[in-house]
Amino acid sequence: MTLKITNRYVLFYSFLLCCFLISGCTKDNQSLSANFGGQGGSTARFAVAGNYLYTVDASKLSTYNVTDPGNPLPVQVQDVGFEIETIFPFGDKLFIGSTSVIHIFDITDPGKPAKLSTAISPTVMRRCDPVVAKDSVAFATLRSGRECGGVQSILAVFNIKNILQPFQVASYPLEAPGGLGYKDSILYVCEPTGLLLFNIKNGYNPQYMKTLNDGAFFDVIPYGSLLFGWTKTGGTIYNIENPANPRKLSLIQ
Amino acid sequence: MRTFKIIAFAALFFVACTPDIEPPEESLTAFVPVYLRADEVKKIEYQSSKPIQEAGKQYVFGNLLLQNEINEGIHFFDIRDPANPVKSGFLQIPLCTEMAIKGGFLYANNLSDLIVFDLKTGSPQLKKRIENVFPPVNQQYPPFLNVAFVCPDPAKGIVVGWEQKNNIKANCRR
Repeated sequence: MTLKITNRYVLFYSFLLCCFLISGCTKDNQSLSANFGGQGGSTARFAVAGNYLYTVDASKLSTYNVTDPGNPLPVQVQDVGFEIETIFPFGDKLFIGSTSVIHIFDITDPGKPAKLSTAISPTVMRRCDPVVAKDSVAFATLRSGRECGGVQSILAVFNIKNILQPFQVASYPLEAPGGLGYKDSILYVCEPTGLLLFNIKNGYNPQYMKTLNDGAFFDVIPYGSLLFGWTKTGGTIYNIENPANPRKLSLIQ
Repeated sequence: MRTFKIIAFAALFFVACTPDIEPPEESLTAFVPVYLRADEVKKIEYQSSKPIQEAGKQYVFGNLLLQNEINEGIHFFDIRDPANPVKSGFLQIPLCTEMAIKGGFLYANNLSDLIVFDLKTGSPQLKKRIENVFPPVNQQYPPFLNVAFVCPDPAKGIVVGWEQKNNIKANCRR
């Protein structure tokens, strides 16, 4: 008899705890993806947003309905540009990075991505640009050299308050940047020297803070209170409960 | 003028000596086809864990961290305790470079196909394949102009990529 009552309380409190955990996690990820769940880096070519899977190859965006996740239904394929590199879902938008520009799509009707605008860096000729967005700012790393062309690599900052007319508002010189990500007011940018941290409290004016010299990072995934960063040989997991002071937890090798 | 005519005539002679068809050349750098046999391309299996050799992208979903092994497959890590990640296995997927998860299902690329795995049943189970949705690799030449390359031999299998190498006898050019 006593055992039965205890179990019921355990179940009830476990349920409450789950609710808190889930709501907490959702809050952390609202600005990262349209649906709490999985997360890739800014250099990904696959992205899940809501009930849709989007994939990009060199020139096309493919849309799949994954309401039944085990059975993706191809919806449409559309030309989006050329030398397409990356895809980043952001609320009801898709940011698609190419070597020259960022294409911004509206996915209010998620099965029919609709082209909204193009963000162009005025100094860009040909770069590779992973892009992330937060509120009314978009950040992109534009890497020059090798297959990417161009002269100077930069962190480019775009004002996307009017999503139909994005424009660059700031840039910060970099060496050979890879992907990027953010948690709260901290932006993490991958460089051959390590992970650069920027304070983006004023999004239009990122302030360089410091570099974590933990390897030549290609990309990062901020995920709740964790940050995953990877290099050619594996990766590092950080605790970013205090986003300005990542604490190294372990290595992926 | 007479000197000029002699020189011009001589130059013509030398130009005419250049053969139309270039013999196999030792190139500074040339493209070499990478082959896989048809049966090897779709050889998908979940294996015991192994070292990371060429790390590609990562993807995280809850307590599962995926680490791509470029063109080989995906390492699975249990990160329930992120301070102690446990490598739990390796999903061999030839030519895989991308992945995403939704609702307990893993999406990955396998050459030109999108494939779907059910992750809810212990080890990943291949559930669905959507063919020819990613651009195919050209079977005749590398995706560049003005390059030397080794002519592909269909008898060796499917061309799954083109690698740039040094000191290669390239017998084709475009």
